[in-house]
Amino acid sequence: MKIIIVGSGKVGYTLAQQLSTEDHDITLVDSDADVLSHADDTLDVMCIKGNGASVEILKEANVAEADLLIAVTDGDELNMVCCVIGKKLGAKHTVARIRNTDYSNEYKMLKQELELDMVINPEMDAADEIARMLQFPLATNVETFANNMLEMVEFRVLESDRLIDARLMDLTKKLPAKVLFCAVKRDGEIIIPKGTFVFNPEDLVYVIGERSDISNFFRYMGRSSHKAKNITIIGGSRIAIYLTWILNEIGMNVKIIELDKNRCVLLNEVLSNTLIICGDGTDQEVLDNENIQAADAFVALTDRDEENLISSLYAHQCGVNKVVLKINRQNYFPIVKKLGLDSIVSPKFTTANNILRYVRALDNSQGSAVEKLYKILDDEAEVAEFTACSSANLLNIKLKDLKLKKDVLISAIVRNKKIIIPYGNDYIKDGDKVIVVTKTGFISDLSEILED
Amino acid sequence: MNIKVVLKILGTVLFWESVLMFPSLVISIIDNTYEIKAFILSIVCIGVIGIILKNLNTTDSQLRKREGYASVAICWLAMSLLGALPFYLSGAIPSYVDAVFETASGFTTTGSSIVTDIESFPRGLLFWRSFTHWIGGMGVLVFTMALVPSMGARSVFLARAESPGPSFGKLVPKISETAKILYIIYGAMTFILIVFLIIAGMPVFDSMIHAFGTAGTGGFSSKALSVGHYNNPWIEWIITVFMFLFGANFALYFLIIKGEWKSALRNEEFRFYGITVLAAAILICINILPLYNYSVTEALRHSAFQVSTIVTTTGYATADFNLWPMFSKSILLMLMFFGACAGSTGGGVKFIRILVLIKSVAYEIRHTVHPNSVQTVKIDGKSLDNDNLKSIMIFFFSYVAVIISAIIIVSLDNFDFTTTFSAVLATISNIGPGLEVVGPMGNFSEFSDLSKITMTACMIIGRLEVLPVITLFSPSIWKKH
Repeated sequence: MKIIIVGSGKVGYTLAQQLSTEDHDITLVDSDADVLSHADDTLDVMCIKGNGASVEILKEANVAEADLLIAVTDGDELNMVCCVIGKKLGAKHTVARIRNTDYSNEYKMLKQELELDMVINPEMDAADEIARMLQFPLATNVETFANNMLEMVEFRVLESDRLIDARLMDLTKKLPAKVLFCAVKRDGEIIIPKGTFVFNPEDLVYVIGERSDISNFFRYMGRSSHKAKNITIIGGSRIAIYLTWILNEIGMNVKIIELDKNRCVLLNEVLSNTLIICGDGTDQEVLDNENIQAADAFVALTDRDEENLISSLYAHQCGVNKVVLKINRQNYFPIVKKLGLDSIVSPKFTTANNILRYVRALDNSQGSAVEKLYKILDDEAEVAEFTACSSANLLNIKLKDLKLKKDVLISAIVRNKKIIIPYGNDYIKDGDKVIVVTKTGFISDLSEILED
Repeated sequence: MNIKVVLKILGTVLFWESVLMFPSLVISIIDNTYEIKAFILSIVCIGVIGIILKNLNTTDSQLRKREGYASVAICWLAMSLLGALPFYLSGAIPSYVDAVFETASGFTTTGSSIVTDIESFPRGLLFWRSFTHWIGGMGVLVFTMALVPSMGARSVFLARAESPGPSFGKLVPKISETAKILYIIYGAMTFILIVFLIIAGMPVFDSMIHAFGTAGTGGFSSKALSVGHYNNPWIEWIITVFMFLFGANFALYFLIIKGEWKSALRNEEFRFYGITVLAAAILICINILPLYNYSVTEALRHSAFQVSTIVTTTGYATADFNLWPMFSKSILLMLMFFGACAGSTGGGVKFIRILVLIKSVAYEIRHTVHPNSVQTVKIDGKSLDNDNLKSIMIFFFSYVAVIISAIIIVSLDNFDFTTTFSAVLATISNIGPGLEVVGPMGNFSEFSDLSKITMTACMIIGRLEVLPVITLFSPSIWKKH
């Protein structure tokens, strides 16, 4: 597809990077020459310097033939104008980032009136993601597939788990729940586990299955899946507001600690049922006074990565069950994970991922068959959702008779709204949704999982 | 520097070099001449080295600017050293230094030759010699990029180091697509030229040889008298026009294909190029009228051809301009310095840089008169920032510095000044013939080995526009981290 990205900030750059490796034609527009020259040096994209909302620049970027225009500059209004003009000039689809809370209740109207195909709000997306993590406290990461019927959960194996020292093939026989082990990360290496695989403590594991099965699975492992009830948030940022809205709706109690007095007053206006504490969330005394040990979950959302890290470490040390922290700089991820904090949220990363999913779905309607594509384990493995169509040359063949490529795993099949966790005797039928895990790189068609 | 990545790229390039030798092998098999064995041996030898290097295992395949620059310089050096094998192994050129000179002259589209009796060469070798022009014209790494899209996003550094001109402009977002488009335009134009030459009455094989030389703006001919051999005005005019076309920026042709005639013709560099060529041709025409019995058609035919061949740094000849008046020679010498346009297949300083330098001088003068005036140097309505200006001036200085150093080395051979100076200028600007001893009817065989090596280096330095080669001499580039 031909894609124009306006704004080469972190999100724009990440998008350009990912989409250009997925074989799209990317044109990047920004008014800052320095960021553009960085992009020009490192990415296979075309760079145009100028204001993305100007007709002349958009024409230079060949907007008339563009399939998609993504506006992710710093200004909400600029993004809107850019998309409106782009659409008028012939862009087929437009995506705008609109993050100001003032607009958050007007998305429907904005989408309609400005003919936007998608509106993204990084803070709201991040809040969604955190809420999902809090609902599944045992997992460090949760992704959903097949219209939310399937869940893929990431967790770290502990010494006490009943997984250790058993071979995978024996384990699957004993399991009371139908789940499938998709991928394991051990010592920086990604493994697609085979029958003879044995789990070690500290392995990062992905399992897929229905929500109830995954709960059963966790119970079998000897972990209580006790739901979080009392949540402490430090930092009254926009994400905190969105998150509190969501959490209040599902009946959790939220306490926000914020340093700035004026901000506290504002928070109290928007979140009338929430306890707002004015204090320094990185100060251990403040945290102790608020009885941090008793909280079920701790979420660090201040603007500074370092403060989030320190206060999260303290909460972790105090024995808080679930600690989620926001980290802006992606290169901090591995360091933070080493410290035992697995649940990390990065709004920019989430935004980029959401747009990527949209693009892939759009691309799918133009021929290729991937419906959803997730990157897991620090982008080193991929989970792709396909719909099997008659052209695929692997229909109605027992899976054990298929010659799959190395490191490819068919992890779930959805047929008539029922989920099949596949074994050797299962097969794929026309119209099935198939979820495939690979570490070999981008697969654009279901037939590509077969050995050539 | 990550040497393994560089070697991997070198492997890919060498592999393709051996593949590109096949047509020459086929011709020599058809003719059943003595160089068959030499070709087979070279193909196997280069191919094996290429495949071994290509399949090196690397964990860190990151290509940074320094690896990009170093790869391009090393690739061109290795290509010339190994591409000389057929000449050397077959015994057609007994000295290896001479064979390398000839091959480097081919790849860099210089067209300077040390061969005294070219017409005795078998057709296979002649084909290889001219085919190197065609490959080198648009660039080998650009060629591999078009074929091997997996070279990655950072291959933009390779394209930048290899393609002539101050900046490498992408035509479409993907670099491999850009490379493909460039080669399609290049190939199509070459094909049209071959057809035209055949229609004008040139034998098929000669048409190919001369089309390769014209397209790459190289200048190797299969005849001792070059294009003058045919003494056919049609052929000369066709080649004149095509040399001019191959000396223009290929991005303009892409614009024309897209239907944007106007913006192509409005391009400042192209206008400057066109006007300079036209003015030079007319001035020389008037100046040489007496030599051609006041026949304007004759004089114009020769002046246009010579201007076109020199300005595009091709180096064909239809007349011995050594015998022309000093004024004409001076104009030609100036054009040697200018070179063709950025993004073309030609060499030299490039018109765009000359234009920027002239504008900078004008700007400086205006600034002296009005010290508080605020102005920028603009090309095509867009102002250049200081980095661009700086890099053009640095390029210009280093170019002149290389010329001066080379002249000092070559002067050890004790030729007259015009010969020494024009020989160095002709090689670094990738033109081919110079003046006096190395004039259009002479050749470079009389120089010593040291001078030949110096001039071989000049050709590669000139083709890659100095910096990629010079960076190789920086000790810090060779350090591991």
